[in-house]
Amino acid sequence: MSDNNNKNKNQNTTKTNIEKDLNKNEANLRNIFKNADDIVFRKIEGGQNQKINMLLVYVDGMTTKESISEYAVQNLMMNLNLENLEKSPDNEILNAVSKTNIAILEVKALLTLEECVDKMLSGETVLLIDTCTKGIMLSSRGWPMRGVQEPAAETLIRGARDGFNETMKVNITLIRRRIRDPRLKVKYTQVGSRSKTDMAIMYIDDLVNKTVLDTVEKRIKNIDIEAILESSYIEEMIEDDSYSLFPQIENTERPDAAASALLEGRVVIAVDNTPTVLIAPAIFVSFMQSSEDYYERWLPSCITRMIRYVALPIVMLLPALYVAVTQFHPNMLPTQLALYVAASRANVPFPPYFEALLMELVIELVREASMRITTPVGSTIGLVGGLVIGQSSVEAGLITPLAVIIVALTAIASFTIPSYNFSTTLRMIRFAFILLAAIFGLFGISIGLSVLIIHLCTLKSCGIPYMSPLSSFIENRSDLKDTIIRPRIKNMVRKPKYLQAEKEKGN
Amino acid sequence: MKNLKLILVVLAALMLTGCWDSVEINKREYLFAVGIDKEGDTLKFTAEIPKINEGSEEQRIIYSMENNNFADFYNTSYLHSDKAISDRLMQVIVLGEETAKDPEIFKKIFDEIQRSPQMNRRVKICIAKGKAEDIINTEIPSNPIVGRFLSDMLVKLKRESYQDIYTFDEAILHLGQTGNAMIPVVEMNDKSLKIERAAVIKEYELLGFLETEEVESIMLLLNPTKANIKNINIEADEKTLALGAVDVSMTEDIDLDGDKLSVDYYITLYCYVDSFIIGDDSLADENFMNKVKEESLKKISDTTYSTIDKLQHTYRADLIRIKDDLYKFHKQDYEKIMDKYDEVFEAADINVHFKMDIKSIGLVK
Amino acid sequence: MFNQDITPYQNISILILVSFAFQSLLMPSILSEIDGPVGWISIAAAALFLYLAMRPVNKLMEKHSEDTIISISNKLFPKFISKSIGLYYILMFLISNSILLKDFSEQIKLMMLFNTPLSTIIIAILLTAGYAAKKGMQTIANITNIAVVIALIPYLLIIVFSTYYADYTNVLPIYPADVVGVAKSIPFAMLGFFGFSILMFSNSRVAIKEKNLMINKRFIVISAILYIACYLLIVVKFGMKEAVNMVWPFISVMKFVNIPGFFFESTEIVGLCFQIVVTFTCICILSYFTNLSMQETFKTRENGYFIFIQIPILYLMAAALPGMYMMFPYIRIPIYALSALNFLIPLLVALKDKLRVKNEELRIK
Repeated sequence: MSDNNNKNKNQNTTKTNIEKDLNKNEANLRNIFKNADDIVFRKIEGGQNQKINMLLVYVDGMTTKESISEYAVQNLMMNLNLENLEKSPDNEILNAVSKTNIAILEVKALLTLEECVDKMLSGETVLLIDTCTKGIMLSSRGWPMRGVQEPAAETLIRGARDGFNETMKVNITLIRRRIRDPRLKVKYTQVGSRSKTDMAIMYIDDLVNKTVLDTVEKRIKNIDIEAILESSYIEEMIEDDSYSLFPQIENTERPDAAASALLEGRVVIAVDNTPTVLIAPAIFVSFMQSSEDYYERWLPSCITRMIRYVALPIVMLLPALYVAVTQFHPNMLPTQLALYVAASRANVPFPPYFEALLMELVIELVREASMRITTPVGSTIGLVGGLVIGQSSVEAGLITPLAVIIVALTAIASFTIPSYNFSTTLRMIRFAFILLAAIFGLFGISIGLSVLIIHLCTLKSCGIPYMSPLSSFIENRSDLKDTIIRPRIKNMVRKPKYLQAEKEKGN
Repeated sequence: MKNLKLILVVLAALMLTGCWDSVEINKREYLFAVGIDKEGDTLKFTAEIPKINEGSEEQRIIYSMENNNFADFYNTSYLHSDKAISDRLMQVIVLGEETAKDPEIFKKIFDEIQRSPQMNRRVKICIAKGKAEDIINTEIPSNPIVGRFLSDMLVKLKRESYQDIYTFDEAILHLGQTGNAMIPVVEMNDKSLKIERAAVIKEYELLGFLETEEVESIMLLLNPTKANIKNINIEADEKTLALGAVDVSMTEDIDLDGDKLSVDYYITLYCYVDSFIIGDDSLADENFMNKVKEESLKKISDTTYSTIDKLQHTYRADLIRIKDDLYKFHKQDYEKIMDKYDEVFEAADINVHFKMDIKSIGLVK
Repeated sequence: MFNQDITPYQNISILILVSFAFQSLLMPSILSEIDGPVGWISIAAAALFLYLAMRPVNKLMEKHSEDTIISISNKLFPKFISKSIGLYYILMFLISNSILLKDFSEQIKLMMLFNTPLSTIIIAILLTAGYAAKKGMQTIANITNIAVVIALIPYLLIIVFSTYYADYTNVLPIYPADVVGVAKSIPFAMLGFFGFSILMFSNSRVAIKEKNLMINKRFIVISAILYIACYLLIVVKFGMKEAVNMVWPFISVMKFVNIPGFFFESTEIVGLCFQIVVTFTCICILSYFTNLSMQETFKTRENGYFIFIQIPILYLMAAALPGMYMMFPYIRIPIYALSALNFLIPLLVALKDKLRVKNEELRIK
């Protein structure tokens, strides 16, 4: 892997100049693109009276051919006037061609063949002219793409229904439309030695935390990989602790969420070919927030958020509590319930922890299966998994009804967590808690909770403590109003204090 | 890698240890009620265990064993059953009359309950008239589990201020503070159980019993704000009338002068008329009402004074907790008579001054 | 390790949390030393002494703002004395940590895991706490803040509900107070403000050092209020006579929590779960400061790996110590000594610093 990377680096450093002889350039390009039949070479003779050879090269399928033929080729063939130019300085020819005869908005001069190749593979058309040592890039990107559709994973009842798609420029546009501020900066970069994936780092100049921005930029610069297929690659390579179960960088498919993050002073990273953008830094409470909280009325939103926070311990701890209470501390239950549970467990062969683990496994199987299966049959899985398996197991005496209720409740609660990868994390933690509860009862659960708290307090996201604002809740008490409840719109402080604190300390 | 090693060590430490305390809920048997009787030198424990299988005719198991103490009892029960005996859901402990009369055994039992980390101090306690075994064995059709029946009943009585003590914790607190306690007495009643009377416990020994009206009077003096007197039946001008009292207000005046203790209670009762005779409109007559008041006050006073007399002379037990007030408010004087408090209490001059106010006569005139 | 800064309010959370753990540990001693429910006077007196000692100590720490007490004593005293001070702090932290560990493990064993061996529980707590102690000051401060929010505050809110059937007059009699007893228990109360020793180390790590004096004074006030409130709660619920007999008053209080509508039966287990998180955090904090003292005394650059030395020492000390009830008669002299040294050492260092400054001024003149 490292050898390949070195080779790639070497490849990147060799530069082939554009020759004066157009045929040589054509030969070089054909050599580079040997056996790539979707590369089109078009030779034209430009000029009204004095003809000069030109070569157009582009990738079939990635360009809008109409704009090139209408606004470039036609003019070059019919209207190009090279008579009053001196033959030798090719700058004059280039100027004549690009400034007066090509009506395409974005053009750029190319100095090396490698640049030409890069631009071509990004969907541009390259124009090489005989006797000129520079080439011209004609902007002609146009590939088949998915339109702007509603984001699949983050649907809202009320709120915009446009979501990001795989084209980075479209995504940037969607964000720009929401923040029409010249201080919104977009910095382009490319990552991946083979994939050369375009990336954009977006931030608002006077709001962003400079330390975080520097950290993000530095980490992106240090990425050394062949190909970036999805933004999650970037995420894993720039986060503080990739071994941790907890995500330290948020991702979203919604432009309004990205715009909101920018206005808070965070950094948004858009990656080409990915319909999700990354938001750094991300702390614990940001994964519990949903855009919908801010679009509904204040009081119902507060209650919804509190319900979400109630769901959080349910997701992690409910099966473990069931195991701990039935095996170690039955005296905690009210008398009636204790007797009922004992009665229902009388004929069940498995101990409670095994029941809990078994049912959790069934739920995970159902979940995985429903992800693989196509939509028409998908709804059957819910029926089969839930009703048939659950109900039949109870009737067969394999598990108790209470275990089914608990596991079902936990599964439903896990869907209230807005962030998918966060809820996956909590599901995994649940298994650990069940095991701890099976060994030590409530003491084990408390130990697990303590270890969890210690781990969360150790985590940082781009230098910001993961548990802000809770971990310094008196200093950052103004941030607390956006955790369990949400503040009224007019009380919302756009820049949370925890993002400012690092500025004071670090700089 | 470092983290991994640490995790492995932790896991090994956890897993290799096994789960000593893990006993499934259905593999436990819960004692709901325990009756303790004195049987010669040892104690006879009668335990009631509800059956956990639904749809069974017999909803509980009762068995008796002779053992020296609770721990011994659990041990023996453990060997006689396929399940683990658990006292964590214990509802009520019933002490037999003979057991309560023996102070050594009483103290031993109370100490064991107090010391046990598992047995909740909120377990209810009562004394059986006769043998506790009979109480536990009673078949009550409406609520076959005696432990639950007694527990619910005691909670209700305490809440409505019929009884002073309902949990073991209160019993031990009172016995510790003043040396006296008034513990409810449970008796058989046809096909059920009843708790009407209370037992006078002094220095961990059962001295005697108090009747319903006497208990009512003591509750009035102990907890006037929550007390209510039900059913004062009197006859005035050859007409019978029943009154009840709610909203009692009381002030207390304690004076300790050397060895002479004098206590005055000033009680105002706010009464309502429960029952009279249809068609008789004497209730509008002020003279009649005054006579009613006189008669009722006389009746209440008589009961109260006779109760206090019983406490002072028959039992020499300060159940109205004057000792407590002396300790808290007159500590210096109290310390002088601390050792001979019983004599001082017996010779004390305790007066109760009643005032009555008939607030309501109900929905009809 | 070098750039670890905590905020002032994280500092105060650390101090209050550690003090709370030791207050609950030492509560039985205060209850039993005094005749009468006037222990709160000794707590208030101890708080007053410490409050007055804050100013000189803070002046000293302001002057040497980046140094802990051990580094300061290194600068001011000859090597032998400063090393002794360092060793004293190491020993004190180790002993208090092991006593806290032992006491808490006993509580867990008694109430939650009766059959599990004590050593397993100790090792489980120790390994978990050791995992955090390596991570540094900032992590520990974050953990403390979160522990205060999710464990300490709910715990305190729950135990307030145990006063359902409590008798508030149990706080009397105040006069005449047992002055000798109050004076004797002031060292116990002082040791309950364990944060006073901790702040000698943590003040140097705070980002905004100007607020240190205010924060430290606030810590004394809040901690004293908490201490007195807990003391009064226990006295109100149980009365003096019963409270004196208790080995773990907080557990007994938790057994009586009666939140209307709350259906859990054994509430002491719920309370213990919160207390586990609180105690974990305290053990982490103490381990970290032991590491720090070792670093300062032995002048090493890093302190993370000292936790590996601490774990076996703490385990052996905790496992070897006898149960709490057995230690009560023997700990009086050690507690007087510890309390006095904890209070006097910072004052002596402050005095020495002042004398040195005066001498320098005289020399300059």
